Amino acid sequence: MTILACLAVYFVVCIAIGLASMRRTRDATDYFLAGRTLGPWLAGMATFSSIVSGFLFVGGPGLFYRMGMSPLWMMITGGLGGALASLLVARPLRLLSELRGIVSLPAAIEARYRSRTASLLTSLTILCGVFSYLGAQVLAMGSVLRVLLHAAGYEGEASLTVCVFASCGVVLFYSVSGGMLASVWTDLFQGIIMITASAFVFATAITVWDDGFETMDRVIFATDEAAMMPFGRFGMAGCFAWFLMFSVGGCGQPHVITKNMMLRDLRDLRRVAILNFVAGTLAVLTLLAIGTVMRATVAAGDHPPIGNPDAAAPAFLLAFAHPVLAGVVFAALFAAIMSTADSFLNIGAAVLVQDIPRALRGRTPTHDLAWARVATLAIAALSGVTALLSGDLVAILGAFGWSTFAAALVPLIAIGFHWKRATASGAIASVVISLVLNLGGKAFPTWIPRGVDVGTFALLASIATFLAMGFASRPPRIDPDVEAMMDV
Amino acid sequence: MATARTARDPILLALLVATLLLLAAMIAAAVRPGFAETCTYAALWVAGFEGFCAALFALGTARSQAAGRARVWILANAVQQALLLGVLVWLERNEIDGGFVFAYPKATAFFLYVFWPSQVLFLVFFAWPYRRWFHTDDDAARVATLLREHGVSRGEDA
Repeated sequence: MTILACLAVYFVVCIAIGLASMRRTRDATDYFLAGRTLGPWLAGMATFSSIVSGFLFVGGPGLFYRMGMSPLWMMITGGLGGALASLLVARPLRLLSELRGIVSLPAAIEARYRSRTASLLTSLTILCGVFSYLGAQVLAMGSVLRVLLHAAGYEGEASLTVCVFASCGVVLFYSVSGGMLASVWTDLFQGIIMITASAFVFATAITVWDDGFETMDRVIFATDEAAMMPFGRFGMAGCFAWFLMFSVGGCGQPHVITKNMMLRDLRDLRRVAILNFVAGTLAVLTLLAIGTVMRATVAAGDHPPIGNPDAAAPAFLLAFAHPVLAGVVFAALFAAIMSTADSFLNIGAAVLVQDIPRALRGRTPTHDLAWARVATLAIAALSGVTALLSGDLVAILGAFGWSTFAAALVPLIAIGFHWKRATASGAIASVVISLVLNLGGKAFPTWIPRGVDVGTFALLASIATFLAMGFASRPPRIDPDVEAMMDV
Repeated sequence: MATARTARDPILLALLVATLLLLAAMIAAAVRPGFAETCTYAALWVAGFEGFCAALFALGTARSQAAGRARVWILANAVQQALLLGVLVWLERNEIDGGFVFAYPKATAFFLYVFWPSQVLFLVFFAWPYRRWFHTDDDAARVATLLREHGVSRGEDA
């Protein structure tokens, strides 16, 4: 009951933020970009909250539990990835957004490449990712709520469908009513909960064993040496591939880099990057702590083996955390999922209302604030239904969302916004190749040689295609203001 | 209208070479079982990855006053990565068990000597050269001029 009470308080605060933001959302720019008024702390926390998703408290600890040290290669990319994203993506996007009044990534692509086809392909890639990512998040929220209700004695009364729509209803309410403004303010609230929970989880974890992590590491090492070797159980090739994908791939995540367009002052980018870095470092400690404690405890025979690695975090909370801390962490889990979900709802609505109509007909519909709200509702409903009907398929799609976005969008944005020879045909070819390789790799996994990470291969192939076509073509015509922006 | 050859072409050419090197390493690992566990693969990957990152950083700082300082950071990062990866590969190849530096098991040492130095390097990077990129009068003036020339009234913010 304590856990459910914590969740109820969290939901009420989110709804209150949605109501407060509704009054300040007057047009589409307010709805999609929060009026371009964010300060560094709000933007930094919104970016951090959008990145972490349910991975922080579910997938991440599960990976540490299953693979040992391997996921660290994914986690230590925060510094390098943040620096690259700030240098290559944040500044040009923020400038272009102000120059052209742009509110979305496909619009920025159209402005840079003068190509509605490239913009349409970007829109479809984002939409595909939105449905898969959002479906996975919605399903995760429903599943966790159902487990909690079951634990509190409400067995039989709450089906998965009811739980999905109940949890989805909260995020939908504040997203529709307050748009991006509600999204970033809830992100701030959610980020604070996540960081607080991370700190407490880490403090709890280091006291579980008398001598802290050193003893835990030795216990795991004695039973599974490979897990505690520098590359863990994933091996050297896999770890290197992750390192590349997660350090460079951040430059292509639309739900994250769109936040850069909302900054009030370009100079705040530096503070945003540092805040993200500090929050991300704390988050890594959570993943490491939970995964290591549970692995060592199971290895020592003090806890029964965990069948599903994703259950490592709930098992840790039930075994070692005070009920109030467990309540805060479960609220943080919902916060992590919701903060990613609301970002996807927003960029998905922008694609439906503005980007696809503009790419197809050359203009955006009038009354776009009302349409934006309708589109947000439609995307949420479709994602919920898709998640409930397709089951495992959504989880699979959600898992490869990061690499799909990275392979399709990194060349177009991180490179193309700094290189005047980059062409629209190169952009289109690289998006198509990235989608074919990523989707093909997931559809036919047996065709992939062992040790090859499809996402990383797709990213490299996409970049090589983009560069080769740029060098092989005549330099394209670039609009004067965009060219001036590239020269700054 | 862009000129036939842009000033950043050499950077992009370096990026293309590094990308092809990484692709070649992955393809070689796919067609030759066991190659992905060799020091040759690690060396290929480190060379490709460092070239890749250096090109991206050079691209991002091409017109910045801090480009020289960024090069120092790139070099420091490359040396750190290469040394640490060399140590890790050496440990793997020689199957050295727990108790190497300061009697820590390898995982703890890895965390201490790979994770934290990377994080510290990042902080140094942002606290030192990067600060200049958004604070120099020259950069701020260029942005303000650009926005004013294109009729954006909030130019003074940037």
